[in-house]
Amino acid sequence: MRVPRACVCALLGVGLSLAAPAVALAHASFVRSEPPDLCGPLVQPRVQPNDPRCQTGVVLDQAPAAVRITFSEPVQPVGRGIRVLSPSGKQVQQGKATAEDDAASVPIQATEQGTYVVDWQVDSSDTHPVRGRFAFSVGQPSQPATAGTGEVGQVTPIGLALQTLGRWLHFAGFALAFGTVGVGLILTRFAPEELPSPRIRWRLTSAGILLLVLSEPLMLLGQTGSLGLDQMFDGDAIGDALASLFGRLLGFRLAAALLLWVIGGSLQPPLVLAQPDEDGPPAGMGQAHAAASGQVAGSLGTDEDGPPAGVNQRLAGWAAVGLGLAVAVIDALGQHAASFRPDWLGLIVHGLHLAGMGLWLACLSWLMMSWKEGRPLRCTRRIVLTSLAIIGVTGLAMAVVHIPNPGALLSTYGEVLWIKQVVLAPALILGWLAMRRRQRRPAWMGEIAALSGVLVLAGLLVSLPPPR
Amino acid sequence: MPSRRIHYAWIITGVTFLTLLATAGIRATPSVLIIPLEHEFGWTRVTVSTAVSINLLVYGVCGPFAASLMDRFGVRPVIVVSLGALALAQGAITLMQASWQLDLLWGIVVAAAAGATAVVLAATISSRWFFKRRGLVMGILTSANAAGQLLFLPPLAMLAVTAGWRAVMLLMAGVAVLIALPVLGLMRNFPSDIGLRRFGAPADAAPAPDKPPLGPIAALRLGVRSGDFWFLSISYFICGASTLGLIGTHFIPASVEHGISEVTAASILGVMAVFNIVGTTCSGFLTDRFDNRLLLCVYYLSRGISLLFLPYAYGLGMFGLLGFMIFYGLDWIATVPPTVGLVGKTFGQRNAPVVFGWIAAAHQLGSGFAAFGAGALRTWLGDYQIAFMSSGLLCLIAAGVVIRIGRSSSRPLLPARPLGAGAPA
Repeated sequence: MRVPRACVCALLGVGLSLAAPAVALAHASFVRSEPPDLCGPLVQPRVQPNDPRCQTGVVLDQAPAAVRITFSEPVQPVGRGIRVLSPSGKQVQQGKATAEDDAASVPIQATEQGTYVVDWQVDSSDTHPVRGRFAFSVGQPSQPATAGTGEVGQVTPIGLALQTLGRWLHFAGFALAFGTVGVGLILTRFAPEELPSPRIRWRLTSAGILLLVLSEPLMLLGQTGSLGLDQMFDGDAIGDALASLFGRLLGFRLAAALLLWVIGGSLQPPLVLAQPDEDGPPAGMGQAHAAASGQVAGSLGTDEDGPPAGVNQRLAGWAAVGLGLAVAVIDALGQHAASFRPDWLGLIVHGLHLAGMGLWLACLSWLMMSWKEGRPLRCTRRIVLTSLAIIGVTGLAMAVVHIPNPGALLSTYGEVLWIKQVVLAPALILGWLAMRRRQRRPAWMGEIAALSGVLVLAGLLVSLPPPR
Repeated sequence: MPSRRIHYAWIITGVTFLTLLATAGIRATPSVLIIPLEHEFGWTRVTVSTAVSINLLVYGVCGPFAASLMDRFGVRPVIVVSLGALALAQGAITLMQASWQLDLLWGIVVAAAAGATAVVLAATISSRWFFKRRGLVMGILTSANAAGQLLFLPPLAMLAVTAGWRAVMLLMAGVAVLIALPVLGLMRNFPSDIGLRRFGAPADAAPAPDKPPLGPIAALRLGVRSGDFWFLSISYFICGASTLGLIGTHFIPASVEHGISEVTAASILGVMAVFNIVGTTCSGFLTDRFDNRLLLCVYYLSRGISLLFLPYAYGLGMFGLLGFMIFYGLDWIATVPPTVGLVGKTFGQRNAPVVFGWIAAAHQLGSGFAAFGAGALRTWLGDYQIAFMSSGLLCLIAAGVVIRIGRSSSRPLLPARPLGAGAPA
């Protein structure tokens, strides 16, 4: 009964990941503040960020009792929260910033006259950190304690780079680990003769698990580093990051990689251990001896003559697929999925895009490793074409949703999207050429390089705020 | 020939169960002693905690040496001497004047004596007297641990309040002496001493060898060279970290942080003790029927996943916490029977108790590590979520490690014997 089992595993995977309740929205963005930010992005008339008036901000008669910032979605202050510097450089905020629905606020005690600088940093609901700075003056403007800076995506460049690198490793690891499992299952059903050897499959999967695990510390440092270079290793910032939804998603992703490692361990053929007698260790131990004695299947036997308890390979394979789907949904939760209406559609579209990518890259790795054998591998090529179709359709849907108007194509997000398609093209062309001309050596290195570039750009895209 | 009388092995099991019960009760007394001792002597929490920490360390390390002593001098002398030492130490504590005496008597004497009559004793008895049902016996005997705490703690707490802490110590000394009597009368070393075979042993099983088992240091050297020993130690280390170290120590403070009162949290832990007994006995039953590695993998997987979802369980209030505790409680000591089973299959029944003694020491190391580590994480990062999630991930690592036992060694541990001699096909 393959269909019910597939459905069960798929539902289990999605269900497990949705058991982590979270509202996934896109990047939070600054809407307004009290006292108002003269150079805020939604302020009319628009003041350019390099206008000298931005250094001093609005001039108020009386000092405000608190600073309150409203965002486009619920946020959580993180690390320093909201920090207000007086003209003399002292911190005048009282305590930690608190969040209330879409706003974050902190009471201040401002007694000096002059220009105050407000530094704020929050986590959006999709765990992406956002920060910013603005100034306001009391009485008359003066030299601000620190100068303002503008960054891409409202985070530090190094934070963005680390986030991108972490996501690149994660995507590559996901493809190698779960993509291999998926391709293996499809081939087992439709074309068992095209299956790679278990040894190769396990090697690809292990490499993927390693990459998945390595990507997490990079993502953590990217998360804290996005708020500032000094905060990358700061205990408060790391603690806040790990205690938030970001930390939970990180934990779940690591758990999924470890679970796949456990499932993989249960599949390898176990050694035979003969029933030990009184004298000491059993009669034979070690692979050489077991092979020589001709015993293959079985396990550490039971005292009674119970059945050797091996693990059902098919069940383990479907469990791994369910796990992969769960990871895809968890990823979607942290990747602007709810720009879609309804929310679940965004999760499905993102999840399918990721799954398609995984299948495609896994097939590519397998094709590359077995090309020399000269097997036809028709089914594998069909999987490649199908996954390309899935990627194309879902990618188009995401582009339509995230780019609301043609003007948005010129934003940073839109530019990166363009470049991603440009880098994708050679990969597709090389792949098509390889499929047509089966005899000559395909340009594997070129294709791998192009696809790596696509993954890097995908990681960058996910880290950037989509245009509004 | 079939006998309608109960095999003597079960009588031995009963006597051992009583011994373990008494030892568990004695080891539970510090929790009712801390406050009275502080009041009477003016000591700080740190003073009593130091003695308890020494106790844990010595208790863990004594296991393999105790197993060796039992091999050399016999089970009955070792148990009787240990129970006697426990009684004397408990009595001496009532006369103590300074804290170093507590460190010596409780930290060293009681710990060593309790170490000799703890889980290593259970492993020794189950391997010597049982050919079949070994796992079940192991499960029953380890459940004595939880049962002892459940049985003795409430009346001891009441006694401490009404009659004073000295009465508690004297009562437990009396219990130790009382238990020594059936041990003196009924305990035997080997089934062959009374002309029996091991329970369930077929008539053509090999007779008991005259080669003595390895001593503790030799066993350690043997184990260190074996990959499976490391796998078992790592997984058992993580077991200690995720049970006593994490939940045992930090569940109550973490619950208080989430708005649950101390009393409620303590009673949830009490509910867990009941499920401990059920869980470990069932686990013993399952150990005889299923691949032990698979059992351990399932236990560690469920533990890890429940820890990962614990932050959400707190969000569900009492309902979620009770669910977590029932699930976790069934799992708590369930890992002991399969681990002992695996040690027996990997190193042979003869050396199993002493090798298991070392692996059990890893368990104690793990609980100490987690008790300290979770507190440190909480202090540094300000939240228990991280401690719970890291423990959950560690349990998943244990599951992956345990499922790979039996495949790592590329060379035989001892010279291989031809398969034909005595091993089933």
